[in-house]
Amino acid sequence: MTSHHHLDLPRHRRIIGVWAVLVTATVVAWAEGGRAAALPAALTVLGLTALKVSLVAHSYMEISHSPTWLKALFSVWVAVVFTALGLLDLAPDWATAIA
Amino acid sequence: MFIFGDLVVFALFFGILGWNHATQGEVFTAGQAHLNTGFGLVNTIALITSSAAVAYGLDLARCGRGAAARRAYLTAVALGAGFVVVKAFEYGEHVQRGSRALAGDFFMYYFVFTGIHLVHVLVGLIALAIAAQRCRRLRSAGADLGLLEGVGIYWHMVDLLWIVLFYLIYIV
Repeated sequence: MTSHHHLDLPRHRRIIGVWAVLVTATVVAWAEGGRAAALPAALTVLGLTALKVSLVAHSYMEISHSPTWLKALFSVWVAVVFTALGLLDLAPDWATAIA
Repeated sequence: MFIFGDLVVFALFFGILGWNHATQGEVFTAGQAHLNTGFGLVNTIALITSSAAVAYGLDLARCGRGAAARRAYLTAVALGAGFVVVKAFEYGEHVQRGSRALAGDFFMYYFVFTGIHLVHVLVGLIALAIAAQRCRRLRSAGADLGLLEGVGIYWHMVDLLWIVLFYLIYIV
């Protein structure tokens, strides 16, 4: 057993704090979901989803401890996914025109 | 790299769902009307809480508190198993309603993408059970912590992917 490390209380509190934000964001997005046809609500739920993904990656996955190239790849992934979803969900007309 | 490969594959799934939602809005809205969004909400909270338990467990393991870490990993397993049970109820409800409601693109994408995610959850549950077992004897700290970190990253990825699926399937 390696008992020489002391419990990192700020990190423990951060895990619980992030959990509370994630659950709150989930409930708010779920409650707003029915009204997602309106632009402010649609922006809110997309923004909350992006916030949740970032929080899980940074606080739980500890992506900030990864090599720089991996951090960069993940940032590109988040940017591509949420730009695409934003363009498709908030302004779908261009997709309809192509289809 | 395996995790990143999975993220890329799911990004394509998200793109397909988003594209079809944009181009077949009415079909998707009609399909979504058959969903019980409460199932999606409960499952999202279960996975988020499970992810937090894994982050907590890893911290405890790093401090050498094997017994407490094991409890955290077992809590994560219970919550993940709860996700599977709720999903089974949800699938059962759709199948009971019959093929008419299930016809069309929306439910095809729903079953394929949530099904592939569910397989990831099942693999994750096995990995979490192994992690919990490993917490019984945290002797070779380096190797054990490496395994726990790997399992944790995988489980958080499963959570992260579900967060986007929850948005695309139940919310938008």
